[in-house]
Amino acid sequence: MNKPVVKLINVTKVYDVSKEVSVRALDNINLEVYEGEILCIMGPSGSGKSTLLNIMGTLDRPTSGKVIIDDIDVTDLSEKELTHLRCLKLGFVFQMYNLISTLTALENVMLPMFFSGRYTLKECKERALILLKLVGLEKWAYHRPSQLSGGQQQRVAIARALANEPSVILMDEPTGAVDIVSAASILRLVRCLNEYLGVTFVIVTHNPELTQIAHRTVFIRDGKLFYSMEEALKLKITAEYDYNILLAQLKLLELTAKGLKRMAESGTLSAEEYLKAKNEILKKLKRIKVKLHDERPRNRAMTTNPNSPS
Amino acid sequence: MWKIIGILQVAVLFSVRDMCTRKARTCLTVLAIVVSVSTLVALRTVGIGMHSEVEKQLKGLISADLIIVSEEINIPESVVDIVKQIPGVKNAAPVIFITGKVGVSRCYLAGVRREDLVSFFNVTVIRGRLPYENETDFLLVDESVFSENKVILGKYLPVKALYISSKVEYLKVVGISSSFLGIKGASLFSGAAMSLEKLQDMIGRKGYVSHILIKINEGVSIDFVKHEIKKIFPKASIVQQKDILETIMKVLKVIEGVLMAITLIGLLVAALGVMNTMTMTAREHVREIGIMKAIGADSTHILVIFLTEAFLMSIIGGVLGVVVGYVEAHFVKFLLLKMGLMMEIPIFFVSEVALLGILIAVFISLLSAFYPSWSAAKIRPLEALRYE
Repeated sequence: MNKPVVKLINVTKVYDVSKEVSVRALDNINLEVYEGEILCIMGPSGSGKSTLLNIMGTLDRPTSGKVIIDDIDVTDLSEKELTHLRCLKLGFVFQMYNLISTLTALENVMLPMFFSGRYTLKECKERALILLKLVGLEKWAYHRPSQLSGGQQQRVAIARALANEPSVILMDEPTGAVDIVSAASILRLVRCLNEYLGVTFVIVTHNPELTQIAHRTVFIRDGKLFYSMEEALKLKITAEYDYNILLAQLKLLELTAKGLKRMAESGTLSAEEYLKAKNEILKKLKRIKVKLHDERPRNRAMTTNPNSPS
Repeated sequence: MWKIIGILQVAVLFSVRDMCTRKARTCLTVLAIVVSVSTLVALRTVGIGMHSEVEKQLKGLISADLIIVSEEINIPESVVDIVKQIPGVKNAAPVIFITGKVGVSRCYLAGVRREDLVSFFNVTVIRGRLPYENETDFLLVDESVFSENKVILGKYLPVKALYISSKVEYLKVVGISSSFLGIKGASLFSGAAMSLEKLQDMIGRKGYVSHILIKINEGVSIDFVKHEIKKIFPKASIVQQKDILETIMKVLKVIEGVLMAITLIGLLVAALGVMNTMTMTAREHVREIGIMKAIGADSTHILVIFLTEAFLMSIIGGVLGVVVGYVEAHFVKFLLLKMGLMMEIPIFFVSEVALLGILIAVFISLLSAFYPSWSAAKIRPLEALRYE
């Protein structure tokens, strides 16, 4: 079994509505999200699933219990440390896309890389273009969100979430505001990113269709995790993706390594952290190489757009 | 280093986009800054021009080092001879200064001995001539008195001493002086000179004067001579030319102070405008602040982004304000001329004023943008994301 990326230990969240009334949004939750899996959190409205996601994403703090992300106990971190952690370890995809309306798709994707302080402007742009290509929107790079369809905006949001190669991407109703075709295409993209790039996803939804792509689904009701099931992948990816996606990942890792090296040289990153990050990259590289080896002969003849509905 | 550059790049990108998207709001804010900066620059430029011009002209004023002054015309003329005996005194002139009416103009009226006209009053005749010796009914006028009365040289004008005597004398206009009895062309100081004897006759104060102008030898201390005069006339009130200049300059300073106060009100209005805009901007962007914080922007990033927007607007407003300010300065000058100030105020580019204008624009913008930006930066991401 893979190591857990996110670990929730006895997490409880109580909202005080007034002095007498308080709502127990989460009640003693224990949950682990493993590296490389797609975890679906299902539940009706008001069940506490969004609260759970916000706590995982460090946007909210639990009333009691512990949150551990990538072996770091984030429960008592300061706001500044949390911001830094979110920037590098977490990716967010919201129901309403939440792109910055005045910036182009490309600039929206560049934003987290800017904030990370790892890359130069040129590198940010280069990476952002690769990421947009990955989600099939390279032609729309210079369009504003208002010029894109809901599905396209959501894919830009996914590209943005991928920007700093986070340990986990948290999605809140990612298909909640898009049409059926776009939703299907987004699901395929998520599945594909997971399969080929090993990206870990946590998806919160009340739409049962999404469980089709999940490795595991947990149910939440009244703040309690009461059922969990291992799920075989129901949605088979019929169209195989060409290995360009892996080449893109290679390029991204190369740029990451470059940025990390520069940070280590300038002293922004300690030698220890650099070594850890380097090992991580090497591990990913190794996996990609294996995949490349596997996929190459099969896909040579096929150049299917990973995002076109099959 | 590239981290800071990175933040600034995002900030500039975001600000420029935001300013372009909300053009009307940006324009109005910039306009508020332009108006206040241009007022500052215009008033300051006119003030400096006026200052330099007044200073220049005052230097050509009565060239006396010391003046014995009396409120009334009660200094005996014979004092002049005593003063002349004091060591260090080069020359002394008895004079009467009163407010008078020459034709239709109200102006300064000076009673002067013929020989003192050039040496003490710096009279430069531009048309006509100086009075002849023993000519007693002469009248020398300056350009404004001349043009107001529309006389021609050689004609007679009625001259009257106001508040003292109702007697009217008709005097012959013999010449026009360019710099005369004071500041060239300034109507406040416009005046005419006539024979001392005639003026004494007219007001019935024969043998008495109101001022004695004293020139001292070079290298002699003014204070020493002053002290010597005090010994003989302990009650005499003696002023130095320097004192008069200082007094006038003080008045100018007060005027400049008033102008600055007006400017400050303008700046305050601009500051409120910027504050208002930045508060609105911050409020409009609450959701985006939430998004940015969720994807890794910390408070500093947000603060820098908003301050950059204020900074950019203030720079644009400041530079435009300086340009508009110079145009305005010319307009103010034109207005003053129209209002009767005959002084030719020189308008010149003072880099300090331009710099001051821009710096003040930047300073007040950043100051007034700081609070809204700071409170925007402090919003918790979750609250911001929930904001509709």
